[in-house]
Amino acid sequence: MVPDRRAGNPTMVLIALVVASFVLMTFDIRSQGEGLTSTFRTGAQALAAPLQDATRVVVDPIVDLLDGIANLTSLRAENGRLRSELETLRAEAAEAGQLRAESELLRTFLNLPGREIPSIVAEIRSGGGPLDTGFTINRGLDAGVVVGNPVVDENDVLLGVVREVFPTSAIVVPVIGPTSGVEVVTGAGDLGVLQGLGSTERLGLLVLGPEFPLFAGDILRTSGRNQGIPGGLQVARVLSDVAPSNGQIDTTEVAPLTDPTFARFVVVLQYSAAPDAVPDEPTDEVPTDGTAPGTSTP
Amino acid sequence: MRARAIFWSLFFLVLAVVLQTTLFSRLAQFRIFPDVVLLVVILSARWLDPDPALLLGFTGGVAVDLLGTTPLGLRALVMTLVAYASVKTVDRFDLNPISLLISAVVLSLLGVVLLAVLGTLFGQGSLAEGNVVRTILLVPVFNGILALVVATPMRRLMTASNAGAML
Repeated sequence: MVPDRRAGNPTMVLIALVVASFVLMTFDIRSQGEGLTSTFRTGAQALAAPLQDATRVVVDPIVDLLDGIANLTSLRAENGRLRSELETLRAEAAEAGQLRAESELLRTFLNLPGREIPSIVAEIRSGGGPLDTGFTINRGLDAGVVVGNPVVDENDVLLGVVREVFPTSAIVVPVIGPTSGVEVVTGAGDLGVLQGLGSTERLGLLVLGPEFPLFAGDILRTSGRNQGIPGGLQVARVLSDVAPSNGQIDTTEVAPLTDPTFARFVVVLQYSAAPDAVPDEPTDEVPTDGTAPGTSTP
Repeated sequence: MRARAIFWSLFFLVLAVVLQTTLFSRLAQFRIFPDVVLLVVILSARWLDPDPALLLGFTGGVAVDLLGTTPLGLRALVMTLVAYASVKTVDRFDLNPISLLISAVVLSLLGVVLLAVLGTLFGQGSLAEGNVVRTILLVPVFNGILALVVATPMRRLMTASNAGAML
């Protein structure tokens, strides 16, 4: 049964809605997600959160079950590997505990401030649709999350950066997102910029004036400069040797260390660059709008 | 009849938005990523009048924009255009499953391509994404399969008619 298509004038409605869409887009992009559009997003998040949470109560066990079935064959081998890894990690943890206690003692003697970064554990509440790599977490302003906070996984691998924050939720733009850029330091110490490509398998890396080539297996870590992101966080791994060409390295032979598609829980680092964090570089002024210093939103 | 169709189309739209941002965002790890909001817009246009069909597309797009990271209005524009295409082409397809499959695949393909192109124009870098080709090809396929599953219950609820052809 198809309704009478002669009713109404869809072309006029189409023109009106297209114009409205362009106005909304222009307004949202120009206001960089603040102002009225931020209010709309806050309202939408507040409305959708209970529905999403209720749905996840049903959905998560099903997806976990599917995940278990899909990985059934590899679970036994994985279990054995994890047992041996657990033993190793326990030994390392005991050693690290001793070192931490020693470090605390020395800091107390020398009257140095602690270097622990406060963090918040959050759960991924929802993801975007196709061609949208961002995701929403269930912690926001009320929990102390601010724009620019880095988000890591359980292994301290950088997943992304908080782009928008609402009272009880926040939107994270992942490192793999096509609008994402993170300053990193190579294994040899050269500075570069890691660019998301929207792929869970590849990232782009640009190093200007490198002193050394890249070697397969090198881990790229955050530089800790100008981005509100602490230095030393692992981000990506170099897949193959890359030699400088024309005074630069511009390659996609880099893979992210973690795939946010598989993440369920994340850790938000409440980091704000301390004056002594980057002693050799000029630091950005602390903004007055509640954002972390040195951050920019795409 | 019209009020009933509008009510159920809005119900399916809300359901689709919630499922898209929860269930299907998690199923993406299995490389399963339909765009169910787009699908609801395409299918609802079969049983709604043209104006409500376009407004449904716009509303669905705005809802996804508000809950995602794309600029507000981007998906609204895409879904409005797809709803218009759906309204304009619904009479050209015979009411049978094969026709439904083809129309869902073609209109979904139009939607994803538009999203990629407009996303790139508005600074989202969608066409530069490493997975863009896979997404453009797979979303219509999954939408086509889902259309075969959900079209009949949607028609029954929106038209209150069990008689006649399957679709």
